[in-house]
This record gives sequence, C-alpha cells and structure tokens, in this order.
Amino acid sequence: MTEAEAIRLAQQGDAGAFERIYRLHSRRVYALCLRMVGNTTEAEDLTQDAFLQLFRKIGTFRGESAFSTWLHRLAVNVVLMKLRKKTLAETPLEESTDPEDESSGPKREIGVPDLLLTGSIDRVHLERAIQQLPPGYRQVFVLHDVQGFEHNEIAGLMECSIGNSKSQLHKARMRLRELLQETLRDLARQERQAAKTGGSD
Amino acid sequence: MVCEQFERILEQQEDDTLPKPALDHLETCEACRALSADFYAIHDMALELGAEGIAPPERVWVSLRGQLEAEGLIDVSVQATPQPVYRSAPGWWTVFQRPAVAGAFLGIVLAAASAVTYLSNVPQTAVQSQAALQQETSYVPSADSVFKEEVLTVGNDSIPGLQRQDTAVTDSIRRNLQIVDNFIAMCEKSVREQPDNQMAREYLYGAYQQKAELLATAMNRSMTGGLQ
Repeated sequence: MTEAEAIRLAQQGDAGAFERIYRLHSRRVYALCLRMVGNTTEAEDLTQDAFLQLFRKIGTFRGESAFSTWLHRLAVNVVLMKLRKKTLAETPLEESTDPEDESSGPKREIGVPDLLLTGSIDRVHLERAIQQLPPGYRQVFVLHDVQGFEHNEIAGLMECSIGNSKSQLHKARMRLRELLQETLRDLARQERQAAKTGGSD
Repeated sequence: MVCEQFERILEQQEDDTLPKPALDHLETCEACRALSADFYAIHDMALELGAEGIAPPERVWVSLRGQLEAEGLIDVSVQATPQPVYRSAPGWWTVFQRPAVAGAFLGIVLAAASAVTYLSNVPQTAVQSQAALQQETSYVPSADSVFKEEVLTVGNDSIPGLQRQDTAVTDSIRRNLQIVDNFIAMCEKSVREQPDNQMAREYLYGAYQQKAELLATAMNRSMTGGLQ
C-alpha cells in the first residue's frame, strides 16, 4: 500500500491504513518528540497525541503540501504546546527559551587550545550531549540543526523573534561543543589509563 | 576584525556563506577556524541524526488504536488490511513485557522439560495409566495446553533420534520445543523491531537457553535409548 493509498483509505476510516501511516512515520515523529523533551514517557505520550491529532484531521488533508511535512509540523506543534503549558505558568516564553543568563552562557576561552571535533565525535556522543542541553537551547537546536527548520519558521512555531532563535542556536552549538570536547578529553584520559594499566601488567 | 565580532557574525549567519571580513579573519585566527569547523561538524552530524528515526514501543500504537476506536475514527466495518500474526496480537507481547509473567512462562517450559525427563524414567504402563487417570480426573487444562491453544500452531518437524522413542514422550518433547521455538520467533521479531529493547533481548537469551536444555534432553534420551 503506497502512502497516497493509505491516506485515501484512512480518510474512509480503514484501520489498516491508519496503521500503515503510523508505521511509516512513527520513527521520525517519536525521535523528534524524544529529542525535544528528553524523556521517553513524555515522548510516547506526545507521539500518540500527534498521531491522534493527525488522524482526527486527516479528512482535511488535500495533498497541497507533502504529507510528511504536514505531519512533522503538527508533531512539533503538539510538542511545543505541551512544553508551553508546562512552562508558561512559571516563566515567560522568552525566559523559558533563554534559561541561562547571558553572562553565564557558554563562553569561549581565548588562548585555550581547541580540540577539533571533526572526525572525532559520533552520533551517540552528540545524542547524549543534546540531552544535556538546557530545554530552550535543545528545542531550537533540534528544530534547526536536526529537523531542518529555518529561523523564521522556528520563530513562528516558538512565538519568539528570529534574533532570539539565532541566539539560542548559537548558544546551543557552543554548549554542545563544550560538552563534546569534555567527552573527547574523557575518552583520551581513559585510553591513557588503559595504556598505563596494560603497560604495568 | 576581532574574535568577538567574528562570533557575532557566525551567530547571525543563516547559510554557509561568510562575509569577506569574516573569511579574512578565519585565515589568520586558528581558534575561530576551529570554532567554525566544529560548528559545521556538529551541524552535519545533527542532520544525520535527523535522517534516522527511533522506533517507539509497540504500546504506543496499541494505545493509539484503542483511542481511535473509542473515538470512532476507525470504522470497524471497513475491512482492515491483513497484518502479520504478531501485529494482530500485540497484547500478547505486552503481557510478556512484564518480567514476572515472562518468567512464569519460561518456568512452565522448564517444568514441562523436567516432567519429560521424569517421565522418561517411569515405565510405559505407568505413564499410560497416569495419562488415563489425568484424562478422567482433570477438568482444568494444563498451562501449556492453554498456551498452545491461544498462541501456538504445532508443526510436524521431526526431531532426529526421536522417531524410535515412545510416542507420548516424543510428542511432549516436540511440543515443548515448539513452544520454545514460537517464543523465540516472537522474541526475535520484537528484538528486530526494537533493537534497544533490553527486556526482549533477555527473554530471547533465556528462550535460547531453554531450547538448548530441551535439545540436550532429547539428545541424551536418544543416546541412552530412552523408552525403547
């Protein structure tokens, strides 16, 4: 069954077509939710919510845009709505997307030799580092660098300025760089210790 | 241009092209060159991450489907697309995601294997009379027979070395092997679908061990003559 057929049948309420659509897209939607919230239980709930909303609205899909684009935008909206509900009561949005004070944000230490990340990091390290980002940094980074949204789209989705989106992304990358460099140093340290232990045997 | 100005440009850029003053600065500043290279490395790897998905647990679909049915979004009168057996019975696997239940199941298999070993030492007449007595007095089906009725399809694969042995014991071993084989197949399917599911991997490993023990029992019986 092609995606187009599945969409047509799902619009008629065919259970198999619903499942086909779910199987085609659930991996990417779940990955998006998981990276945005960093919590498997919440990510599962959000994935379910996103598909539920999708299936409620599938009758209105006329095929003007790509189905996957429509679905992923919807999933992002579901995630952001959830995060907004969680944080709005406590802090204004601009603060929630910029949780760290300017002065305490990632700073580059001039004169300190940099470890080049090119060719040294892998996806596992990056995935782990993304989860360590503050929520505001993480959301913008995932939307821009992982999901490929533009700054103007992110600004619209997150109800913030384009400048704010750029600033969050820059800080996120700086923080990731620090985290990944720490990982590289740890790995190098472990290798040295292993070599030492091996040599003394 | 100084490094701070370069960083501000880097922050504001929307595409890969840097203005000439920034490029000139890059040529002379090793730290900014490293920063720029790292940003590209992070960006490229993030794009790769975006291209790959992560499979959600099966319970998400089970729950979603339940909700779709409850809301009447799925028309039950519309013929559903045929699905493989394991998908039409996701609830079964959900049950096995509970360690206690899975442990109980493996326990049943183990008990069945032990029973086979025990029966192999009982004279044939005793086995027959015991079976007859069980048929007369037992109103509650055994756990493995219920399990068999629920989820198993018993095949006719022969086990080398068992043809010459007592039919009841052979059938019992074969049935237990088939239970374990079916369990292994379901575990393997689950591991393929959810490679990160550690629990499924553990069950699969346990099932392999059970199969090895059963096969060892069968081989042992074959070599020692069993109930010939």
